[in-house]
Amino acid sequence: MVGTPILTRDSWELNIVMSTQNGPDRPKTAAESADVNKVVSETKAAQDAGIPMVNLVVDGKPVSVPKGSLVIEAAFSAGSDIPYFCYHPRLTSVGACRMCLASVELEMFGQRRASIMATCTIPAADGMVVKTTTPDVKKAQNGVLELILANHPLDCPVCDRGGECPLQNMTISYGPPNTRFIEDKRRYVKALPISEHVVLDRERCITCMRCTRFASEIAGDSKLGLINRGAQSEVGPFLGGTFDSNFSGNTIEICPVGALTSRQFRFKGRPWEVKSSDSICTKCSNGCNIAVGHRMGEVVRINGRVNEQINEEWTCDKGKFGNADVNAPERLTAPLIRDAHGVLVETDWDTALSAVITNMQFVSENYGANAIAAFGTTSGTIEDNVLLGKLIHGVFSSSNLAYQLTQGPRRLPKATIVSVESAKHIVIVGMDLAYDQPMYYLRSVKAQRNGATVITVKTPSELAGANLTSESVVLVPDTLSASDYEAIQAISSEAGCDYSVLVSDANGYGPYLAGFDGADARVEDLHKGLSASEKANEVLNGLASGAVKHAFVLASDPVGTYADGQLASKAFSADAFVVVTSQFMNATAANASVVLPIASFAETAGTYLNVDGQLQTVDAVVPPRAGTRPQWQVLLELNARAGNPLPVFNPSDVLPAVLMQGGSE
Amino acid sequence: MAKFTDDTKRRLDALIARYPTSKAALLPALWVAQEVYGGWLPPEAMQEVADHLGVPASDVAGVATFYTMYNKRPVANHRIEICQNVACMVNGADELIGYCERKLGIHAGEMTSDGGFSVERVECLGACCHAPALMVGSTYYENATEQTIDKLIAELGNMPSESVRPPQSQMPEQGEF
Ligand code: SF4
Ligand code: SF4
Ligand code: FES
Ligand code: FES
Repeated sequence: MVGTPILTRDSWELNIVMSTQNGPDRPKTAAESADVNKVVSETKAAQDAGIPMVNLVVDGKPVSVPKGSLVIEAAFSAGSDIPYFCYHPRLTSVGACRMCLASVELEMFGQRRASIMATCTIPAADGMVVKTTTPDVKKAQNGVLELILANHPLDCPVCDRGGECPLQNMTISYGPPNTRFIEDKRRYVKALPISEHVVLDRERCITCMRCTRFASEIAGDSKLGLINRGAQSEVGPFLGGTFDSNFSGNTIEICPVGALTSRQFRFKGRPWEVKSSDSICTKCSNGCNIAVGHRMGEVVRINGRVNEQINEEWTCDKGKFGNADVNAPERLTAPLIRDAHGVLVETDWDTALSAVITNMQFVSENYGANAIAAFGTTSGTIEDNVLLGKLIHGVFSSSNLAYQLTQGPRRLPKATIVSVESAKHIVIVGMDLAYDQPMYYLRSVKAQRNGATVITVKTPSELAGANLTSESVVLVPDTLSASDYEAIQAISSEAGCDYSVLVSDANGYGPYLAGFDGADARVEDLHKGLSASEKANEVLNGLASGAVKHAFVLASDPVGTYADGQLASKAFSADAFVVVTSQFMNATAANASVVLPIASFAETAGTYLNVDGQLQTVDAVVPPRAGTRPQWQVLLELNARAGNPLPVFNPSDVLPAVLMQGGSE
Repeated sequence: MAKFTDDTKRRLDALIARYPTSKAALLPALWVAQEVYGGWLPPEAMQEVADHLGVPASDVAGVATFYTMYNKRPVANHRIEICQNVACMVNGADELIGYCERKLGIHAGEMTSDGGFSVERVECLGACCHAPALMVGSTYYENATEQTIDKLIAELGNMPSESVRPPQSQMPEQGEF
């Protein structure tokens, strides 16, 4: 070790004083701020709700927190800061990292004494006196960080977490600027892929067990575990397996270091150059709140954003890695029109749009208003549907606004996402809840941890053996046949319970709000339930028989998705003039006369009604891919070309119009 | 390929019955699995334990890898476990380990190509007063010397394995603990 400078005890102690920027205003990642906000707002809510409280003093400030809060949480509520890694407000405490040390004075064996404790494992109690800034505490924090860093590679320049890393933040605020360790650090294969989405760097892992607790407590699948012990501890899927969970992406976000990173985002940009914009996931009906990260106009990653009513702070992997869709090379980037040889060829927007309007006018003049039909969209926004209604019904006076949701009851589910959490008996019929209704699934895991029974039956007839009671919550997909729904209705009404049909698309009920399918619904109507309608069948039959000559299909694929697939494919192979708006080629578009390439969810604005009836409006995050246009712009232009100029679109204007006046007027 | 027989399952059920939760039976269940799987715990063994106890496989792996006396690799017929802790070390454990390695032509942690012997460094065997100590199977050899090694290798060379510890006869039956 000749020539290796070794710090003396004196210079070491001197360095402790040099830590900067600690306290509540220290640098924080978005997730760290969210943790603190959650704790503070829950304390506030508890104070207002008159829940039993305990009173203690933190850094000289009296604070009263709900019974059962941890000391670290009391400190947050008092406006103090305590550094932490393994603590997470949505996970159980394990006290794995020892970062949260503070001085806690309490009555023990008839004597008051203060000692340094891990505050994430100690429940706050009356009369405690907590100090977070004493020299002893500082020294302890320095020591813990020095130990955590003893094996940490500090390869921040090539770490995707660098710049938004709790370990970096804690080190600058509470850590030693130097180390006394001169020994080698442990070495592992650096980037080990453990699933399609996640890569693991064991050298960086600080064994906080956040990811493993997430897997067992939140995702409920225990797909990650910790093996070996001490400095040899490693996180990973069961020996030799892969981390295949539909919720794996969340572990990337809660890992307080760069040990778990996203394969998709890997080296796509430094976190500080990635701008983050609020949005809503549209990959399924749950409507998770997300933060879309974009760099130079490209969507590079998606993170969860807090919404206690829906996703708490999680996402599923479909949503988390959903930017693949936005960036997919297979996206349509020019309008397509069928040429004289019957082949779809690329064309420009002006040609495509005027072909659409010319045909609409021709059909309406020669065959009457009802020879024109429109199919609403469940993946686009409510506004998109409204604007299509304005064109087809408002301008061309056709009453053929068709759309088929399900063969079951058309009403919003009684069981909301949040309500599932407190259910006692949950029965899932014919779906894989974790993949089909991910946020319902996460709440069902919570319910199960609180003692609920959760069972899945494959077919409606098996429901009879599920011991339903009036308290049971029955969750049903929107893809069953009419007779299945009748069977479910019969069995559940006998047991005196309700059943909830959960739609799959981002805006399942959107077309109803815009007056499609004979409905002229408000959200309240959807809660009550709409009466049955044969509109979609009628229009499909009209297409098949040749009575309908022009069909405008808004971002959907009736051929691929309608229950009566045979009728749908017959309808769309007849020779009506079919216009399809779509991001990708699909079965309906393949037979269309004109295909209009539209913007992805991140490139358009508007409102969605999620599976349990929550309206959410989003703005565009990035400009549309060259050649594509947001659907609302396309529809505004078509309205204008058809002689119905509408004011410039703004989601917050159109939406009240829908809700107040009914859609299609 | 599953190796648990009906008899194994009966033994596991008897263990489970002793505890308030099946998870609590994990340690003794792993001993049984290690015996059934020929002295070590391949992932399939852990999976079988997980399935039978209704515990996530990742938790079983966590426990099995935490404890050094569950073997995660195939083991030799005779495992020569030499204590390397302080009392034994100052009494020549390192030299003894070196001798053993040279004699068998392997490094500590390895086994001979015929699977007959392995040499392993282990922590305190609780026989410090007769250091250096080593053990093979459940037999202790105290005040061990090079001659002890020569003798035991010569004697054990042709004997069947006793590598599963603790021997089942020493495991407490129902009602103990
Ligand atoms: S991988 Fe990350 S979250 Fe998991 S234990 Fe290691 S540091 Fe914690
Ligand atoms: S659950 Fe649905 S809304 Fe939420 S992230 Fe997944 S796909 Fe998106
Ligand atoms: S935050 Fe308290 S021990 Fe990790
Ligand atoms: S140190 Fe070797 S037996 Fe205790």
